[in-house]
Amino acid sequence: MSLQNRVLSEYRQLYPQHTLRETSLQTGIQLTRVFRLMNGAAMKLEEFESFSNAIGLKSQAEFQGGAFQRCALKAQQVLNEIELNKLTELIGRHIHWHILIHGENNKIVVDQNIA
Amino acid sequence: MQSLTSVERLVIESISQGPKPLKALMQDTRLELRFLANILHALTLRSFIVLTPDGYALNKHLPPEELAQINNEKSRQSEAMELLESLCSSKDKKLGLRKAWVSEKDRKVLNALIRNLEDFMQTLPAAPKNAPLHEYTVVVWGADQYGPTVQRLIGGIA
Repeated sequence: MSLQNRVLSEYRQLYPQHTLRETSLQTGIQLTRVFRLMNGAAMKLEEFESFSNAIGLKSQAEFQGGAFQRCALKAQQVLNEIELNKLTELIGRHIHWHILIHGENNKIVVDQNIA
Repeated sequence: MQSLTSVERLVIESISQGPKPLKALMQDTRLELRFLANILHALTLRSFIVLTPDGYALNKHLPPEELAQINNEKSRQSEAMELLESLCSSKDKKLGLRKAWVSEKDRKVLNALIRNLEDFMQTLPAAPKNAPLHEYTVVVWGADQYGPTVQRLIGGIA
């Protein structure tokens, strides 16, 4: 599922009764734009942050992976291809380590001892 | 293609001494079964190792270009960085690092000491036949001036 779909899905789960108008008021995004986003238009970074904040208000937790996703988006904006490749390798390597130690599909909670 | 992690390298090095069953691998590497199982699975999926009647063995039919890729400079650097990170993060300060003013005269002494250590490492006798891999020692040496060291980091980013 794309990041955009995830954030919209989470928003709808937390605010199932919200009309488009209420969503527009809460996020500060124009009504017609909210309609377009709900129907597949590509989301801008500010719009993503608005939805994340709205989710954060309700769930009192930052949208899962929000900081990481914001960092990744920023990296794509400012870093060149070589730097991005280095980051990709680093993350890939970290994921590989995780799979080696914990197996696939096992997310470890923060305070759990790894090894 | 993903290079090897240092823990995969440890297992490959153990198996390169000869085919080993699981128990012997555990004794040689001191890796817990739950980790070793995942590592062996990953290495088998990538065809680096195969299971034979004598235990896990290196895949003799691995294409040379794949072997070259995991042994190239970049791969070895990545593994070295992992080992360095482990030494740096050890609680009993296994790795010393200092920035110091070294005069020309003392630089010659320092270089000689480093060369001595290098020679010492080169002339160490071969390990005894059944020496367990986990008892080998990781040794780091080298020095460079502060400026060029930082410049290389900038060069890596710029």
